[in-house]
Amino acid sequence: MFRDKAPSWAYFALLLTSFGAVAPLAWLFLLSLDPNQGVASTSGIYSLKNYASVLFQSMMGQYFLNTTIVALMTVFCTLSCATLGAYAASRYRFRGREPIMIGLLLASMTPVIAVLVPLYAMAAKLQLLNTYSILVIVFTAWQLPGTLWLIRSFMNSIPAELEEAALVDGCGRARAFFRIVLPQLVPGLVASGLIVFVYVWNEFIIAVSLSAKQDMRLVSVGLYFYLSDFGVEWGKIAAGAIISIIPPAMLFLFLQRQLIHGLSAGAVK
Amino acid sequence: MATVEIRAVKKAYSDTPVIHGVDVDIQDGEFVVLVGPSGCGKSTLLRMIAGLESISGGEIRIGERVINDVPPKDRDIAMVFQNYALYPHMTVAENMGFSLKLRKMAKPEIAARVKSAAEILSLAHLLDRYPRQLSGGQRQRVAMGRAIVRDPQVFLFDEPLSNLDAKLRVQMRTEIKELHQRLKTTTVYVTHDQIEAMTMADKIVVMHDGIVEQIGAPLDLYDRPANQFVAGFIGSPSMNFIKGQVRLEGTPRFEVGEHIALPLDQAGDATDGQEAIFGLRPEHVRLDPQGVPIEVLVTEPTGSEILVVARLGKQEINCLFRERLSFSPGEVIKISPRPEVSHLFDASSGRSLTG
Repeated sequence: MFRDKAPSWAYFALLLTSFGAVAPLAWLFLLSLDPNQGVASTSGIYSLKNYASVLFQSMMGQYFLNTTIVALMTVFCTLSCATLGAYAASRYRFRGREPIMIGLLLASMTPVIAVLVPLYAMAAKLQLLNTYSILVIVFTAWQLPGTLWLIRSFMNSIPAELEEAALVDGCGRARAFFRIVLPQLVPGLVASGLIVFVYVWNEFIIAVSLSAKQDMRLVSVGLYFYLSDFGVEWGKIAAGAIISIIPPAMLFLFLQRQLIHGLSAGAVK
Repeated sequence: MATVEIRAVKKAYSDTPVIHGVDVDIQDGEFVVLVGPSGCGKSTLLRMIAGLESISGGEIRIGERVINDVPPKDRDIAMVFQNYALYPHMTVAENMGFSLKLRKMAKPEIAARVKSAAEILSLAHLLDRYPRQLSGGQRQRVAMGRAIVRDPQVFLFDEPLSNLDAKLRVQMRTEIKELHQRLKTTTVYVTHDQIEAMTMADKIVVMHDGIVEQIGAPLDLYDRPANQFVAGFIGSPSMNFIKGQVRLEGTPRFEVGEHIALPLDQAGDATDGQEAIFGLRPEHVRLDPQGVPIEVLVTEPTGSEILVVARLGKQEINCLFRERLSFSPGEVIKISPRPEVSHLFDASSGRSLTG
């Protein structure tokens, strides 16, 4: 670890990076306050008209509700399946364990475009188009491999002796898992859950393909439709985008400590 | 409290056998130490008693009951792990009371038991702390507290002191022994440290490569090792093994190269001219002007004693003197072994010829 005073070029580098990250957001924010339709320049007039219109004269509220429901359900399903799978992969030795894990990882590298058409056909056949279920199922399937890997590495860092002590103390396997292992896993679950939540919040291609009906749209899809109906409404898109950033940002803020703890767990003893 | 009987117990991982049929009888209230170098199967055997490893062959009884297929939670045993395995999200009191809570004991009863165990272990002021707020020695005590609140049939210790520093280890050794004298619970204790084994055990089981080399009281193993492995493992600094030939005509003696012979008090099963190993503990030599000459290589004084590394003929030996002596490297001194406490081992099998 460097303990000397940071040199001035370090500040400069950090400022430059921060500017790169913040500038587009600032631009977006300025756009959202402009009631006119410019994108390259602002008219110098500022009002909250765009926000009022997005919040009260559109379906944005419904989109938010849809996204929240789908995101929470996806997080729940992904974490439940991944935790059980990770437990098996971490605690039991069985033939083909590593090939299965590698296979999972490879499967998760398939580009989404490659499976979109068959997915659409399947969803249509099952009459699941424009439902929460199809989004939750597909998102869960999509996120499961990565999450399983992540949680397995958390699980590996929990000493097996903890569980063994619980077995000797009077727990069965299941109880030892829920009473002893699961509480240790919370930071890992928070970190993985946030990653899944943000993925669902930002996902567009699957959402627009499988659930584009007006009252079933997710936020990202809803924003997209501002592009088409009556020309490009930059101000409203910007206002909608700013609003849609808020929930995940709040989540990060509240779960920050757990998240950092989770992402750095086991890195340093 | 209960007896533990281990009968022809075997363990194999897929096709690799690690324990090849072990028999040990543990009496009610006895403190038994399983000792041996890493990989000898001692921890595996302990985990089989605990139910954390399956038993591939033979049987283990606790009291009258065969426990081969009994899950750990129903064996009525308590175990202290090497890394303590305290539950990080529970306070000291919760850690200690967890097993009682699982048994649906009434809360006041749990509190009373935890309190009395905490007092025995001087933990009473730490009951509300979390494991991460404790020192190594305190964690060690909590792990022991968790075991004793249950008043189990058998205590199992898996190298409980190896994570502590040297001073604390000696202190906890005494505490564990005191605790055993007070509770008189049957105890099986695993360590690779022969000093721990010698100082704590009623009975020592020396294991090596998945078999039992010898079972006996600590001083029995020290005085009458059954073979060269036990002789070398028990005692510190460890026994010198000197190669040579047994000569029985005239005065029985042990020839080490030319013109050097060590006196033999008893030759046991040895025959004249047999190639053998002469076992001599470093502390069983004395300075003697009529003795055999050795050349001093290195001296290691510790204050209470001095260890001399020297050359006898072409072989290196260690000698331990309790007197304040000073030798310089290269100096030739004369020593005599105490023949009544020396040993002879068969050169090929390592079996004791004098035991």
